[in-house]
Formats: sequence, C-alpha cells, structure tokens
Amino acid sequence: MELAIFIVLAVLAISSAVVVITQKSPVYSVLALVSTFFALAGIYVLLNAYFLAMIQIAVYAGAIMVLFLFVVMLLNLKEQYYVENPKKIIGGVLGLAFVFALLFPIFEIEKNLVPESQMPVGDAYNIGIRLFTDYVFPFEIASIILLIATVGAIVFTKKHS
Amino acid sequence: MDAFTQNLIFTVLKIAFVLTFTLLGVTMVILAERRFSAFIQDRLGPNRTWFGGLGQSFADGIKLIVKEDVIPNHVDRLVYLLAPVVMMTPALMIGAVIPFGATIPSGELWLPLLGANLENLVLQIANINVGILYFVSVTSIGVYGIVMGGWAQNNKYSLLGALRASAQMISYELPLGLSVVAVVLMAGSLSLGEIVKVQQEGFWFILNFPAFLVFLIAVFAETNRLPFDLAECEQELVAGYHTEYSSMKFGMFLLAEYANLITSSAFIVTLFFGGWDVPFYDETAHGLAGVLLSVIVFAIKISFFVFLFIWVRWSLPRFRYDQLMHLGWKRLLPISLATVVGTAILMVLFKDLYH
Amino acid sequence: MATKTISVDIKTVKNDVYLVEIFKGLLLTLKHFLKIGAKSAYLAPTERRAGKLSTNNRATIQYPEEKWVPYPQYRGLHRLNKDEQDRTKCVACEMCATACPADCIFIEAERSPWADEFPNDPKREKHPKIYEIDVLRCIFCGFCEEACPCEAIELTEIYDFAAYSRENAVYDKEKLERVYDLTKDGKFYQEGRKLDFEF
Repeated sequence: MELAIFIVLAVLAISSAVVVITQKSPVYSVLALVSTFFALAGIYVLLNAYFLAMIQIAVYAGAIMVLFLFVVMLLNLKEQYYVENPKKIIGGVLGLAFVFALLFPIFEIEKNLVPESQMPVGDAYNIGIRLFTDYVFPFEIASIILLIATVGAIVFTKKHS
Repeated sequence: MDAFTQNLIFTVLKIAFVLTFTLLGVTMVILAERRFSAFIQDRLGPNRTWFGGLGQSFADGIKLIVKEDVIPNHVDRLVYLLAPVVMMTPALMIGAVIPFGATIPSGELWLPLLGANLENLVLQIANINVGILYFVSVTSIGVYGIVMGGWAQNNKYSLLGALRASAQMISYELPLGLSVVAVVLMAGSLSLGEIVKVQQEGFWFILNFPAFLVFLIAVFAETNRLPFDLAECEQELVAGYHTEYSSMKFGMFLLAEYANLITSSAFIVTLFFGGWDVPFYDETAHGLAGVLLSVIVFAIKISFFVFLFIWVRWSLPRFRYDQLMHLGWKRLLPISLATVVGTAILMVLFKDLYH
Repeated sequence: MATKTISVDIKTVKNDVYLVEIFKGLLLTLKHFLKIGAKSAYLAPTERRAGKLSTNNRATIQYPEEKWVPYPQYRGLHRLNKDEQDRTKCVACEMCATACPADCIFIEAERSPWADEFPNDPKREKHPKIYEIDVLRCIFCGFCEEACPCEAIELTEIYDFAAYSRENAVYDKEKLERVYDLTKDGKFYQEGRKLDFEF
C-alpha cells in the first residue's frame, strides 16, 4: 500500500518536473512545478514528516509559487524558446554536477537506515526541539540571511537620492 | 470485526457526514444570503419555491446543471477545465481536520451490526498533529483556482481579477498565520482536537481579542468576501475570474465560495469559540444526547458566523486596492506581530494561572 | 442641491481605525434586516403570497397576487375609444399608421354604417374595417396617440399582456375596443380586472 502510494507520488513528481523544463509556456511550467511540490509533500507524509509536508505546501505551493505565477502573468510572458548553445552547455555541466552531488547521499542511505518503529514523527514539537538545540546556529544564520535579503529588497525599492 | 475495518467504516461515515453537511449547508447559505440581503435592502427575496423559498438553491442547481456548457474558443482549454475543480477541492478538503462534536465514549454507540468492542469515537475525520498548518496550507492553495480560471479565460479583466486575488492572498496569509500562532501559543498544540479540548477545560480563546479580530479580517480576505472581493468586483472587472464560465462550471465557483464560507466559519469557531464546546455543560454527562447537543451547538455557532459574513457583505463597500494593501501590510501585520509577542509575554507572566 | 464638500483628515486615529463607523453601518443594516425579516418570518408562505405583509416596510411587490398600479401617463397597451353610442371614434385616417415608427398598425377603411348620421361631418364618413396593432413590434412610444386627430387611439396603463402565440399578440378592433371598456374609468388595476380574451 505504502509502496503503491510512493510510486504514484514519485511518478507524479518526476513527470511534473520534466514538464516544468520541457513546457514552453511559463504558466504551464509554474503549474507543473506546483504539482511537483504537492507530490513531494505527499512523500514527506509517507516519511512521517507531517510538519515539513504542510510547510512545503503552505510556503512553496501556497506563497512562493503564487508569487511566481503573479509575476509570470503580470509580465504576460509569451512562449519561451530554447536558449542558445553556449548557455545550454554551461547549464548541462552544472546540472550533471548537481546530479552527482545528489548521488553520494543516495549511495550512503543504506548506512543511515532506521527501523520504522524507531522513526521519529516529524511534528512541530520534535522539529522545534532539534532546531533550537542541535541546529540553532544554522537556524539563526538562515534567519539573518533572510533578514539581509529583506533589507536588500527595501533598499532597492527606495529611490536613489 | 477488526479495528481496521471498524475505523474504515466510521471514517467513511464521518466523511459522508462532513461532505453532506457542507454541501447541504452551501445550498442553505446561498438561500440565506439571498434572503438576508433582501431583508437588509427592504426586499423579500426568493420566497416561492417550496416552503418559503427553501427549494430555491436546488432549483438553481438544476438550472445550472442542465444549462448549455459554453467553452469559448480563445480559452486555454486544459487550465480552463481544471480551474473549477482546483477551486472546489481545497474548499471541501478543509473539513477533514475540523472536530465537529464531542467524543462518543465506547459502549454508547448502539450498533449491533458492527460488533460490540468499539473504541472511543472521535468526531473528527483526521486528528492530525499539524491541523492548523493543514488549514493554513489548504486555504493558501485555494487561490490557484482563481488564478488558473482568470488566466485561462484569456481576457484582460479576468486576468486582472486573478492578479488581484493572488496578491491579496499572499498579503493576508501573513496576518492569518500570525494570529493563528497566538492561538497555538495559548493551546500549546497544533492539533485542532487538542485546541478544542484546552478551550473546553479552560476559557474560550476569544479572550485574545486582537488575535480574533485580525484572524476574522484575514479570513474575510482569504474567502474573497466583500469588503475584500476585489478579485471579482462586478463594476470594474465584470465578475473577474469567472466572467467566461457558464453552466455548472460557474456553479462550481459559486459552490466553492460558499463552502469556503462554511469551513472558514467552522475554523473561527474552532479556534476562538471553543469549537463544539457547550458552555457550562459537561458533554459526557448524558451519553449520546450530550454528543448530539455538542454537534448542534457547533452548527449554531457556525451559523452565527455565516450570518456575520453575509451581514458584513451587505453593509460595507469594497476596499480600493491600495487601501487593501495598506490595511494588510501596514495595519494587520504589525498588530498580529504585536499580538504574538503580547500573548507570549502574558503567558509567561500568568503561567501558574494557566497550566 | 449643491454639492457638499467635506474634508476628512485621514490622519486622525479615529478615521484611520474606523471600526466604530463599521459597527454603526452594521447596526443600520441590522435594523433594516429585523424590520423586514422579523415581519416576514412569522407569516406562513401562503399568507405572505396573499400579500398580507404590509407594504409599508418593503419595496417588493408580490406580483401575481399584488399588482403595481402605474401612474396616469404610463404608456401600456393600446385601446380604441368609442363615443357615447358605442360607435368607434376612429375615422380610419391612417395618421397613426403613418406616425408609427415601428410600422405596427394596419388599417383598412370602409364606409361607416353611421355615415348618414353625420351629413355635416365628413370625418365620420369612414371607419376602420380592420384595425390591427402588432404589439410585438410596437415600441410604446405613444406617437399614434399624438397623431390621432379625433382622440380615438390611446395608450392605457395595462402592462401585463404577454401572449402565448404571435397571432394572439396582434390586437384587432374587437380586442382594442374591449380594452377600452375595461379601462375607460382608469381603474383597471385598482379594481383587480383582467384582460378577458384569448392570449
């Protein structure tokens, strides 16, 4: 049962991701990306990471992608054509590098497997404890980076005098 | 019969109950809206079909279903057809986490066919431990129906409606989430069942009035009800995102709007008015009758907020767009932030009193 | 009425919050809601339909049971006036048909039976053999009424005369004279009368 749900979600995630990069219409790409996020959220739920799944939907699908869609519709982008060759090569190289970077943890997964009975439930309580004890430094760094981004955005909107 | 089958049967029953309640409620709310708006404007409203107009919504539904379904040539077909579905789904999904009645103690249900060893029956489809986040995320994806519908119709006015809706949703999501954080602080849990229980044992969270006010206003904005219905304002945008929808597709948008109204009211009640809690009464005292009372009281509380939605809609004029943004970002956001901090401080100060 | 200019200082706290004003507005609508809602809520539907609810507080007219009474200059269905001896006043001069912008009046004249009674009045020598108005084409402008030299055709206050067929929507002389009988005292709706020919 779980495996069947996982396969459905995984196929949905990957096929939507493929649609994102092959679709010429930007609006279709954005909508496909949204469906990828939903499939990912479903996979998170299968991993008992309820909190992460909900945040995934609320933040990525609910806010960020709405903003993307907003911008795409506001600019009224027409169908985009494929980029020229030099950029294509750079993009391909970077993409391959990213795939290799992803492969390493996948091969190391075997070592880190936890029996299902000991799997922690990813609810707000557990995540909160981990965030504010083990990972408090990265957490604060992330918030400072976001603050810098916010300040930067405000600086950009101010007129230069 | 094993526990799994039992759970399955009761879950299906609960889903059926919630869906029936929502959809029947929608027809009644539509009728109520038309009648009440008529009364407010010194008219009578639809009062012919069945007993004093009770059948009006069903008649309208039949009309919408049998109407010719026009799909204009210039639309983006896939997105156009998908939009009403995407609009309707979140509206019905929200009902899954709302606790709609007191727990039925084991042994109280007289169901000989299902066997005797029943567990306590929680009147809530899914008591997930991130219930509130579920609400926030599902309301936030509700905007996709509007945006897709507006874009797919390929005309300026609908697109403008969709743009407004998306900007408005993003703006009001923040105050909504932050005012919910205040409730979470008071309840100490993200689970809605737990929140109702805390209120039942202590006090209703309406005492945190600023959070309630911010939440109420944000919910008005999230459901696209007047004074925040800039996505579909008739005068400027000729009904905005559903201009070129006809027949039952238009009906789906209408249905979704009112289903949202009901579920949002249910959420206001759950978060701030003790959910199914009957004041000064122990729901477990009289067995099944007490549970039934709690369900009825919950419905009455929802009805009051539905009435409030209708009442406000026919009293207030629509915001101008800059006023909307002004209210959202410069007023509600600071107030909600202050509410979170204030609630936290008060909770630390009166910790002994509370827990 | 001169335009009233008011200056609102948005910067005061009261105007910026405007919650009190919202509350006042809500109270006003609630008052109206209770005025109509409370009164119509306790009446059974049948009573409500019979128009038992007083008209003081509401704008709605419960149409088939109650009917709106038009003001005197209302332009509704036509009628052909008759004189004291029940003879049609129309002299078939076709002025109305000429004036009609919608071309909905058809007249065929013949020598009137009472032509000999008016040796000195050449006008009454003719009368219409056929006088038909196609009300589906008519735009109820009232030009026929203006054009008529002997006040024979007039527009009445009748507004509900829908027909089931196109043939029934063509009003001939008999029907138009019947309309005159029904409306000559100007109390068609006050007396609760109905058009009594086939629609």
